[in-house]
Amino acid sequence: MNKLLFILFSFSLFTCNNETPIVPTVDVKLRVIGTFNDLPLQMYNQNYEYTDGIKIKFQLFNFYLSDLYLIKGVGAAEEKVLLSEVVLVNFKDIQSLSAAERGVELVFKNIPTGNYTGFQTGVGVAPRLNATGPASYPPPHPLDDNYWSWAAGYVFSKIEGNADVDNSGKFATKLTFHLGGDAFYKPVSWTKPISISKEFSEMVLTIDVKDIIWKDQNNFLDFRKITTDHSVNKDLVSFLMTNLQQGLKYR
Amino acid sequence: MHRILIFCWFLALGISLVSCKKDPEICVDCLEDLAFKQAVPDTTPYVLNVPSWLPKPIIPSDNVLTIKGVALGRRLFYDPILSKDSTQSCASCHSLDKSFTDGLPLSKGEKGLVGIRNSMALVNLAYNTRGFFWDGRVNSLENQVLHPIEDPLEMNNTIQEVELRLRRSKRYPALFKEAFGITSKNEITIDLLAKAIAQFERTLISGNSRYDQIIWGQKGFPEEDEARGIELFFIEFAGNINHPGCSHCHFNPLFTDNQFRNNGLDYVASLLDFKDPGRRNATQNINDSGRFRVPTLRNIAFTAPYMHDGRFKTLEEVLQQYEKGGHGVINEDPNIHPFKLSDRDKKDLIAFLNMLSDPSFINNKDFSNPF
Repeated sequence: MNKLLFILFSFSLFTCNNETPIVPTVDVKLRVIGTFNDLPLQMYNQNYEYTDGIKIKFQLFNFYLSDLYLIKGVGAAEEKVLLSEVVLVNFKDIQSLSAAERGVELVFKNIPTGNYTGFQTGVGVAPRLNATGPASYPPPHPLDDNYWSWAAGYVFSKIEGNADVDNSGKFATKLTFHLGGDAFYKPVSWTKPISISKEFSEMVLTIDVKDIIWKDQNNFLDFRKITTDHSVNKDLVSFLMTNLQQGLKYR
Repeated sequence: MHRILIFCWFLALGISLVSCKKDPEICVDCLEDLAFKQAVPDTTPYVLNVPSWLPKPIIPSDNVLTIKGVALGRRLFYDPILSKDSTQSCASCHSLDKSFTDGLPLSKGEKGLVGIRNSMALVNLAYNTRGFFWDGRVNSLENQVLHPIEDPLEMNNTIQEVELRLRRSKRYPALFKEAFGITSKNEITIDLLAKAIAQFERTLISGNSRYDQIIWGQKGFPEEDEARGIELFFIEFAGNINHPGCSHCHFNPLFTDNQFRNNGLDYVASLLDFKDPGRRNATQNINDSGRFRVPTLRNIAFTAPYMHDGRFKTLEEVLQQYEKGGHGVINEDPNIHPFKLSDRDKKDLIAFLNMLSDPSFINNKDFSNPF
């Protein structure tokens, strides 16, 4: 009888131990929806009115996000849950209206459910990652591509396409803007309640590409004067990267 | 007369016996097949020797490299048993001394039939996750292996025939048993053949060129023309010099991004007018018309002629083409733009491209014909 009591007592000790409860995890989806002047952003298949009669077609728009975190709590109690070290938001294959409305979808595995207080990311490739190169990343990996061998590490963002600057309908002007450099990497964050549960595990960012290239009538990319830059013109890179960072919105 | 009749009767009987003789059966687990019986499965891993400046190769978990698997793949790669008339092997169009190309504008298959595209170099395939062939129509090396076998312009064979030949072979059943642990000759399938050849092809790593030794290995220095070539190749815009921007697509360390691009070779009035639709074949997306996989520039000096249709005999011709800056076709890569190179610039650029030659690759005995 004593033995039985001892076994039951031992069992109760095990079952009543004070372990931290296991938090369920889910796959969190981040959708990034692109627009141009509020129209769904499609590569190739859509002409967009820009400014002063200039029209644009896009072939490529992409950008990196680094150190993506969900934030929980505030101040000293703040906790961060890492979603990913780096992702490439790539609109290359967004070539239809339905795809544009869906946006680019990124999935982060096994994220603890809970009520978060915000979302944080860096726009571009974080300096510690930018100091590496594709040799460190067996494909497929976000950092197996978009690499400048010669100096600045990775291309943080590419905007490529064609412009019709003379209303000829020919879109004969090729556009290539490749932005990068550690100085232009910047973290952005949004403070807002984000509830991640089994029922709801989606976050949405939006970016309007016109907000990147056009600020006002005196500050915009004039494709009659400039059609390409590979981060040589630092003022231009600063203009475009700042606009990209400010243009990203959490919906 | 009677004797003649008897003789004829025996002759007819003899002929009928010969003509009615059954086809040779596959020897399945028969006792006399000692080689197969005695073969022992051997999963000793094949260790790839990869320079630190290259990424870790991608090896699928369902086809890890083994010494026996790679050796079998190498043998199959060089064996014309795969083609219908037993004249063509993979090596017929992929010759080691040409960095596994064939030196022809368009490859030739069985009976000298001319194919539709230039033979692609088999270099650093273990890094490609974006589709094989010029149009990327298959996603894995294992699947890629199967296409030439059935292509009427290449090996012109059938899967069933290849399987039958391998099962009947005196040598292969034992090799398949060693590599994959089969217990019966009937377990030799086209999938195992594909796995073996893919294993061999994943060992074809090139990363020991003069460029690698100087830039990553810190051994020696580039000559003056090479140094200028490096600058012209990698730096896109420096001051007022309009650089070609080659490294947009051919960047370190693989010298390809394995993407699909219209590099401005041809003018077409409509995207449907490309003589070779390229990537569109695989995706049915009209915007992929005239797009082809960006080839690696590693060993480029060994792989003439150039482009998907082998239209350029020399690297000089390639540079002249790129100088023109394309034709303004709407899906042309925007990074294709006109530039001007002096004769010296061209010479220096080519000096750099020659630095990407890896003699240790084309002379590697592990990659050579085992027969």
